[in-house]
Amino acid sequence: MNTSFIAALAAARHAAIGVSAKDPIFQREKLTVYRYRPIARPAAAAPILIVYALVNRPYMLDLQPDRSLIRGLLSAGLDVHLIDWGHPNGADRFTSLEDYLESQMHDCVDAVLRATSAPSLNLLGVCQGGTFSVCYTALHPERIRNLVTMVTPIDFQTPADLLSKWVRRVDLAAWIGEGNVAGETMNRVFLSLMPFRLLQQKYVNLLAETPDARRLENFVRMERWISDSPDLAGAALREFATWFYQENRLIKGTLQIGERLVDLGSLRQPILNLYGKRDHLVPPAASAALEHLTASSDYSGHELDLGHIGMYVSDRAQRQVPALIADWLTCKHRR
Amino acid sequence: MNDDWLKRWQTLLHTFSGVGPAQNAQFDPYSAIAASFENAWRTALARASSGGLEESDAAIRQLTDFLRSRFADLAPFAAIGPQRLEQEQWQGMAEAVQRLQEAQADIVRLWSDALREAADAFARQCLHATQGTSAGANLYDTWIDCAEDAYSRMAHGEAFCSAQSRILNEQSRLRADLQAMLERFAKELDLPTRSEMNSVHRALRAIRAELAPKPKRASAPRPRTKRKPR
Repeated sequence: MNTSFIAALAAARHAAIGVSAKDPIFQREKLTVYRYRPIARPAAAAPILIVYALVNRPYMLDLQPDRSLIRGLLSAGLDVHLIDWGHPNGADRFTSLEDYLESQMHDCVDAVLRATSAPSLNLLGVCQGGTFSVCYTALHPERIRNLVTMVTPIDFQTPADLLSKWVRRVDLAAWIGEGNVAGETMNRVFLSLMPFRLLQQKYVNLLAETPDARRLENFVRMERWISDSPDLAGAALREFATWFYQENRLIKGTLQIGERLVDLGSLRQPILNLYGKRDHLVPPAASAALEHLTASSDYSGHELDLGHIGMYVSDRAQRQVPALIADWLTCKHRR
Repeated sequence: MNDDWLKRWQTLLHTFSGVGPAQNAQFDPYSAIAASFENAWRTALARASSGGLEESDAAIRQLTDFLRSRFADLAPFAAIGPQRLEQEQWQGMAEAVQRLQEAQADIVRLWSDALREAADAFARQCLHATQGTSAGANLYDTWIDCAEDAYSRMAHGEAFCSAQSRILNEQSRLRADLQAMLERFAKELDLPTRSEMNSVHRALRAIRAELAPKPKRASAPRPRTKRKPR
């Protein structure tokens, strides 16, 4: 390892994360809703609320100026809001899916509608946040104008879904018990889906490349994000893994949140569904299943030649994804 | 040393309990084990005292082997006496450890097969590689592709999924047993336990739910038609 590489790696230590300016418009305990400051002339579109997964932190969507889905949406003039679920601790161990959807997410939607004086908003769900968004839209259709889902699992038992095969056999009550599940544990599970690439090859490639300060900074930012995994509230994780992965209730039409049925057949909003052809975590078929389960007459599915993470940070994604979403939303608004 | 100490204890016990050897048949397995212990100790002591260091070492090894084999026999017996709960817990943990080790051995075997498969595929690809692709970096990438392919086939397979879930499930059981044991110690010292904390959490949640204002919410539309499960 040469000295210039070491110097570049040392300098990359200070690489900033989360670059777009934002202000909190709602806070309750660990939950925060941010509104991003505009950087372009406002587009004719309802405000957009981004719902990220409980696993990992949402700054992945705004990692650095040239790798930021949020910046892309802001550049198109959209009024962007983001839910930050925060870091659950031991006191949140009994927080359930109903709490997340019917209390926390509902309050976030309220906050955005209040702040923007809009009657309804556009929901953009990412990964597990997409599943939440689909459920929420089915439960509260009057508040959601258009639904955008990215790398979102809908059918949790497709043949290529390795995570699902593993989860289905686990005694979740014993594994989770009455506690939270550590973020590090979840990370190890995700890394073990492709151990040679994720735990060896990328580091070897890093060492093999000629030192480049910019590339190293990108690498360090990604590393920081990958290992920045909040603990997961035990009750919600147990419900999610049991109801969605083990029992596949969402596509069977048997999912209940609280006392209410989540019926995908009741979804009538225009839907834009984006998923990755090379996604190892949420296989394309798991997302594409949404098409045949909704009553929406305006469904648009796009399979992009990207992986799960590449969908937010790859160069190709920067060129395609924000423009696709912004164009679709403004087009729907004009109708 | 009195050779008949076990018999003398048994006689004494019968005298006090008023139970004769005939009615005491349910304790036969325990008596037989006690006799075998006595015999093992006696043999080891005799051997250790008859010679030098080497003989002592051999005697200790012999006794250790005996204890290991006897404790394996003891595991399936029903726990009895005032320490019954603790004994059952240890038995359960010992069994879980054994099942865990079996599952881990299965995983090691599967990994070994997958790596062999990967190495075979890598060797085949190297044989057919043109000169340009045999550079170090390309070879490494080829190896990663072969390894990841072999791993993926294994990881999707029934045997791996089963072994992995057995490992997780046994680890979970062990952790739960350990928690229960620690909670018992904590109670004896009048320290708060996780279970008690959880009860408080639940009570707080119930109070908060009761105090929270009930939001006005439109109800989700009922399904128009019942869809067939896919």
